[in-house]
Amino acid sequence: MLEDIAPKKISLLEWSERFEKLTDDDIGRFTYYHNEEWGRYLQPPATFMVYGARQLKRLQFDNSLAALRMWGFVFNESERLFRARQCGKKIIATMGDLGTVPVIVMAFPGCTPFYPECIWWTPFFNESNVLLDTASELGAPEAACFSRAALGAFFKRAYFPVPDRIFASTGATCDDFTSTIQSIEHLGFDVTWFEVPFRRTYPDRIYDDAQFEAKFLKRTEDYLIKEYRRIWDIMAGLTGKENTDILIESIRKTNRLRALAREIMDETHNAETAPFPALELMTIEFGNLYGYADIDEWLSILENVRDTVQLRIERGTGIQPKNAVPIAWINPSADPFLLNFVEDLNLRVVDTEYVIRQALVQIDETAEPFRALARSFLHASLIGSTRQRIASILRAIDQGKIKGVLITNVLGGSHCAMETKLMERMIDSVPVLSLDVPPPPGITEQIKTRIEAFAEALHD
Amino acid sequence: MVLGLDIGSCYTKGVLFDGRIVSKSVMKTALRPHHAIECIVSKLTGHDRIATTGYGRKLLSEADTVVTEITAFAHGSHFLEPSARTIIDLGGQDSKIIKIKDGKVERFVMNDRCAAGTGNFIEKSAQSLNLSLEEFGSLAQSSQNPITIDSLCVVMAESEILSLATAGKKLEDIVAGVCDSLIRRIINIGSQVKIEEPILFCGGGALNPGLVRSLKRRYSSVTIPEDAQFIGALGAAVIMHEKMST
Amino acid sequence: MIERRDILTSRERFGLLVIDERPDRCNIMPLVTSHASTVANMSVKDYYTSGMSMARAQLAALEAYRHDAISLFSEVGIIAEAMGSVFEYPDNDLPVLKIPALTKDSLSEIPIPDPCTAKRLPVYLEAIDFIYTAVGDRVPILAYVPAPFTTGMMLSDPNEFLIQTIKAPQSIHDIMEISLQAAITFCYHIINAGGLPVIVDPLASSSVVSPQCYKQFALPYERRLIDYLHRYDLDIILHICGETAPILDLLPATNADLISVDKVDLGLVVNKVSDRIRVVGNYNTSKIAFSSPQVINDDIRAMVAEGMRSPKGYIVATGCEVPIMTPMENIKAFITAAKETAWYWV
Repeated sequence: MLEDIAPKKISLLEWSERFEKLTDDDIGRFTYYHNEEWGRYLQPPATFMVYGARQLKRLQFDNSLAALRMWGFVFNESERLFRARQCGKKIIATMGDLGTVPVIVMAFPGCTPFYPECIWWTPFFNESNVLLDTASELGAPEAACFSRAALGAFFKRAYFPVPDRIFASTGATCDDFTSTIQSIEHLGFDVTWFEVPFRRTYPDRIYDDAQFEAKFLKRTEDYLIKEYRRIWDIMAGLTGKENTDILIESIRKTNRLRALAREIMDETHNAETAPFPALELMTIEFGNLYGYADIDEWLSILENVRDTVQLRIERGTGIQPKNAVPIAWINPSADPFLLNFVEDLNLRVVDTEYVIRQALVQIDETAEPFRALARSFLHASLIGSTRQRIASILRAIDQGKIKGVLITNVLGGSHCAMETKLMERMIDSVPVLSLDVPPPPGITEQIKTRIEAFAEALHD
Repeated sequence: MVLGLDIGSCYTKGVLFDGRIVSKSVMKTALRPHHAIECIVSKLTGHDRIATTGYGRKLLSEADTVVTEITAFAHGSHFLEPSARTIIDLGGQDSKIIKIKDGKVERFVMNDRCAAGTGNFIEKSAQSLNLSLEEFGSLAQSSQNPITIDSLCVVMAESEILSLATAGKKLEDIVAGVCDSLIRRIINIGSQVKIEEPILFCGGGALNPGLVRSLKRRYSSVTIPEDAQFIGALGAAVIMHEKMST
Repeated sequence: MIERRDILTSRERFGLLVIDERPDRCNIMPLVTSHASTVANMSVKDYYTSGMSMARAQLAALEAYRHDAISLFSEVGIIAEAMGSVFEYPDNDLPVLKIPALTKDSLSEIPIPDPCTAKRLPVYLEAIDFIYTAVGDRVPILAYVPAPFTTGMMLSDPNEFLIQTIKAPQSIHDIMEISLQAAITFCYHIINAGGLPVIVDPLASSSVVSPQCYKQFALPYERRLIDYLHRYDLDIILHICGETAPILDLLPATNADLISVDKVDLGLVVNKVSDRIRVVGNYNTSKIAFSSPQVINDDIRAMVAEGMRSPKGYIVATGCEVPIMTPMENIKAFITAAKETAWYWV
């Protein structure tokens, strides 16, 4: 296949040049759903650019075959979901809970979970306001979070098939997001709501009475279990399957996925020089939610990435100079260009607290499966207090592993408005830069200047 | 000898520096930054290194060092006023609040989303009251009772100001209210970096006595440097000079 | 009748069609190519010699007609010219072949042209680049690329070329090979600029050559070119203007994803191949130029009804390029009629 060359971030044009060297057999080797007619996905960024992903023209990508597989697979997701429907799979929208309901859905053979709200990346990759404007025309104001793109996508029916079922969380979820789902409901889509509770206690104890805390925690867990069982019953009704052994299998597979992603991230972050770029790593973190609608193929891609990362670490090679300054990134960058940009300024993302961090937690395979799911959810960082959310980053700062923190607010994201200010206050020993990421293609010179100044302060 | 150039959107400033300011020059950028750069470079001769900053900092390919205006301001202000902890730079298009420690940027924040909190707010307000910037600044000083202007948006503030004028409110009180409103906005933005004194106030805003008065009402230790306009160019030169001596 | 409001953008609509999904309505893609110059009030020569002009004209046409594609094309000699054939540029007409390259040079002297510099190939690339920035997120940008057979004939004296297909077939295959490489190189650059290559092979139609000749010399190279583009997973339209009824059964073997036809009964095409391949076509270009808007309106309604029977999907289009001097009202009548009738979604 592709020659083994030194790791580097390359442009779309450079990727096309590299792609020309692949044989037809190489290209045909990788398919989703094992379908050779339409399931090939090994395409270079140029393909997706031709179909409208305009930002790819200015982004830089890792030059490994593993990264090419990853991007081809990720950008094929919309088609994959339609193909899934065409070949008889049930398409289940799992909105807002960040990683647990898909485990339940994946337990049922022939069911494909996906996250409609992840469509919020499309306006950025396309450098287009089509979806956001459609959402605004449908009543979601411009000041609402970018997740409103999902409203436009549900209306248009061109980005994913009409789901067989829509599960959507409320409770410890973003207000804008919940409003978006209500608007989707108003379009006539049948939404099954479930509530995820806010974690009030651990890991940082706020009650003195340990017994009270344990009791409270149990009650929260029990509540969540009830909600998960309700979802299970609906799925069982939809598919006619009821045996919960299949849930244990699904948990095992999910754990494999999460462990693999964790391994890639940890090894990358701890390596002397960054073996893999931050944009690709964020894409991997996102994949943890549901395996981009074909978890088996996604696992195979991650193994490929892991091997690439390990080989590069062994050789001591990477995509950045060794003196890159380590930073943490909180909240997804929204505009993928920014992840490229910070690396160009010789900053290295070595820790993240994206909203998808939730899906990195291992699920206990020895416990009763629904309780294990509830626990994993309640253990994750996002649904607790702000201090709990950034606890690991604060620890890393204390240990000297992180020299600066970048917070990218999603304009209109209700969790961003106040939480960012709290975080800024809590992180007082290293420089912090917070930015409101504007809608595409809104990365202005002023925003770039701010990031450059942040980099200068860290290098100074 | 280092030439520091601050290529701004309105003015291009140059400082010739050899450990002290040797000479300086300024001219309008007027949408022709290359021309402005050429003029300053030919005027301030004798340099062997060039450092650039400002929005046009990347336009000069032969620059030896290129830094953002935030870093440049920190270094320039430290050179002029080593005790300053916070720099408030109020420019026509943007404003920056930079917290510095030992001459280095500790944290900074800039206005985003809109022109609220920039000198543009003053310009538009003066225009709507048919006053020159000089008249606007001096009128504000004579106010005894500034009126609160609530609108953050420049355009909406304009109509609020006109309503007040039509209602017969004193011009100096309206003008002082505009200055207070802008400073209030700056302080709100600055809360993200925790403004600490002494404060160095620079940029075009520092030339407006009304704004200076408003700021001084909030903080006791405010300095307006003599070379306020040249801090960016000076800072770029200082950075280059330090590099050369290490 | 009031025009229904579109739900999808042109790009979303085309994207659904090529993955076997029904979009809100059919894509409406009359071949508005050089005609765009008249919409933008520029000379035809300006249109085909300047990328910026071509882009401006296409964008003006898009704004005027609100159809579903940008169609970048001037004439079929563009690759042959870059390989050495000499063309004349009349002020108000399309380039005319004057000296075919192979009448002055031997095949071994013919270069594979660099699309970034050779003759008018950069015109296309510059136009794509500009249009992509302007509307690339909403509208597919189709760039028409002559297939090897058509380029081969434009490199040669046409009569001699046809005689050689019988007397010296290998020499024709040799010309095809180099023409194929030139087409591939051009397509590669089109893709990297953001355009979707459309393969156009008018000189391979049954109006010019026999089905046997098509099968022997045109089809294999169309297929290889399309196979190359399929490596990128692009969905390819093969456009053969002129007569295609005798070769209809052969067309699926080109591996094209969509077949754009001209002088053939649309019902026949739908019946014969539309279970395997999407159909594009085929309003008569004389009619669009010379009929009244009312006649066009009636014709299009009937054509759309026929085309929409296609199980793999259908694009409402003209059979060939819209003639340069076609009245704008006629094209608007075509598009309005199609927009009123070609709906899949209720």
